[in-house]
Amino acid sequence: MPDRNMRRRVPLGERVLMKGNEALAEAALKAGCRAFFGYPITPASEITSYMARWMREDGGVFLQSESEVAAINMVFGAAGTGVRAMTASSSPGISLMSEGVSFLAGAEVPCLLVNVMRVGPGLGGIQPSQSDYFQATRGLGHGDSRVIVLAPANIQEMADFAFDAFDLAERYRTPVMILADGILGQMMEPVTFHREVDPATLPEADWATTGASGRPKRIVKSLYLDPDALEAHNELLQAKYRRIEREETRWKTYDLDGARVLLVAYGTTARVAYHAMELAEERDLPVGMFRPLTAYPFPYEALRTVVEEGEIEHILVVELSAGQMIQDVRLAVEGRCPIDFLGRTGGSVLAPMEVLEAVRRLAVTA
Amino acid sequence: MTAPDGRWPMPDPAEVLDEPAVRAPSLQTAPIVIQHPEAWEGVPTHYCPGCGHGLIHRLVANALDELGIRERTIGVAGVGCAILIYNYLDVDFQELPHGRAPAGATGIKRVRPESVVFTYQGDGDLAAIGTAEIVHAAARSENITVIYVNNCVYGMTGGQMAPTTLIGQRSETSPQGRDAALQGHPIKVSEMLATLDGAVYLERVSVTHPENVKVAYRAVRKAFQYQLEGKGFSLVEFLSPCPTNWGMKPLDAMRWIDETVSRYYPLGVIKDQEPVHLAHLVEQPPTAFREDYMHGFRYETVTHATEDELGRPTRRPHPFGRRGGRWVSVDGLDYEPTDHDEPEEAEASPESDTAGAGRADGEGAGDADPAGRPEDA
Repeated sequence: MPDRNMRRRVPLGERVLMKGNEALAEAALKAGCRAFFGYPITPASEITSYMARWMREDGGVFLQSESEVAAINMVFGAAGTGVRAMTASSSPGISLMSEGVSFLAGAEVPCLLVNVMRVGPGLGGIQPSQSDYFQATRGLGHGDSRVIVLAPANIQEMADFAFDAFDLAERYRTPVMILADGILGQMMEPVTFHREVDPATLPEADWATTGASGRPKRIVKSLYLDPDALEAHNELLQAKYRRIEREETRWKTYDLDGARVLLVAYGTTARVAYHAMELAEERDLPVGMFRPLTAYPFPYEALRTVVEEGEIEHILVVELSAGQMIQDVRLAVEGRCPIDFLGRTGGSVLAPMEVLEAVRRLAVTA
Repeated sequence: MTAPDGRWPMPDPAEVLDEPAVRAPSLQTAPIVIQHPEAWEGVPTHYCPGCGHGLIHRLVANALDELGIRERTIGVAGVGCAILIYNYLDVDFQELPHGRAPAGATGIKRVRPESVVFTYQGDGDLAAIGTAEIVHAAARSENITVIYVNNCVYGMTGGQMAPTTLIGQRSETSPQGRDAALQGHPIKVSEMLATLDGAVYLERVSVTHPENVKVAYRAVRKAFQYQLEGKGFSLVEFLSPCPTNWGMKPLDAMRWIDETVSRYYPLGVIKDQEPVHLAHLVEQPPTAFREDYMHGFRYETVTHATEDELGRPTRRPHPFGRRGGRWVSVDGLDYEPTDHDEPEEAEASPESDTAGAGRADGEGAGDADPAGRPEDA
């Protein structure tokens, strides 16, 4: 029965208080997403619920699938016809989707995946975590496949990145993942939506399966039995990834002037690190911060430049994991300065004072 | 297709190597008696001699032609020998991971209800790794057609035991013959799916001789016809020969289907019923069914909705501003308006305040249209 009490959808330009998961879902709808397939999982379920409630209102398709495996393949089917489609899950669910992600990347089908990370391994727990960094940036699918990974750190970015994700996905015909965590999914913050995309105005995909009417048939596939044909296809994919690395790498830097200790963090921990940086500055400790916005492509060059051109003597990588992004930091810095790590692995969040203590220890030894 | 004595005639090798007959120049001058269907690419297939896939592909192509739906058909290829079906049929295709074709077909059909969607899956694909996907596609009564080719064995990987391998049947991974005590019993997919309310049409057929091929063709056509009528999930199960992996000559393989396989998997219509009504099966653009079908209620146009039987104006609300109609439950249960459904003109309550305030921002102009509601003045 129609719910007469449904509050109106969020108007453009209005500052509203929203939960991260819901802001992301709303942004996806505003970005023209017209197909959502998902399976409930904490702490990502609100995205599915929001879509269940609103997708039909926008003339789209919502379906709760029987598994994450089915969800990602429903996304394949829908996105393969040129419709903006997405799914959302959390760590164990993303593992189940890996197979489909590889097929999406291989068949070059654009779509949005959301991983609201929880702590692992296995079922682990439902607390926030950043322990899927390797999976997202290295091994999300088998084969030499890659997925663009966007790492928001606040609710406004949860929303903005949803728009960016669909644009990137279609520009490069590749799956794009938003790598959030339980905190970003669950907490509320003010957010403003600045634009709305009418899917009817999007250019028609010239590769999508829509019925071979008045044109040659189209096949969306990843199977190439001829090794030469497969190699040619894979080289094209790799060329695409190189282009993405050149053109789509994003990052932000904070207070680099005179900084001798550099904090490197993304997502929720970047906010903790930022707070720690402020506390350090109150105590006259020269601390700056570097935050990747894209986990893949990782801003190697930008970070290297910061270290080379600044006066960075020590780097502290802060993560909610046993240390994953730190490997990318090492690859970027190439031994130019010592790199330390601070992390939690059980789902507890670092306190700014913990980070500050770690910075202090570094400053003493630096 | 067969010689009068029932044997399968060997084609002339020169004919096989030549260009497909329909494109041969000699036929352009001769009267056309029979030709490839339009949906058939007319290229030689890669299948082993005596394989059933080529024939079954052809039946699908014929059905697409006869129903005139080739140009709006999207196929979904399962993983197995027949993954290359997209080389042989002239329709758009997607290639999904092993067993996931019904999920992909669901995605396609849901966002493009006007298209005709079918999956083509083998028994390893559908009955083993893809059981969850096929069961739930059937349970949801996805309005798709499934061509399920059961040859009791994994063909492409070299003849391993499948869930459908018969008791006693030898395979690469059951070299002593399938033993129920060790490997369990074969799955009768069609019978299993028949227990689901969402499965509308299930038939098991074979292609062992011309009469069976005719029956099989009628089944395929009917399955597509049901989809066009929006009836819901249909599946045609083919008992198909795999002489290579059965270690048989093609004719022996056909005979084995008739004498043995079809005794375990009986041919015939397993289920053919009117579907339980489901909103998404109605072929309408999303915007239309969004308004007409909400949460198990369907909007029905009636002529006197603004007055009751005594001619008094009714206070029946019109959700989403539709006129002259009412919401009826698709289950046949009566729609009882609740407090929440009072129109905004009614006395202010917290709920109606919220709804009214929401309308003020313009987008819901249709909602605010008082037409069809009692005249307040």
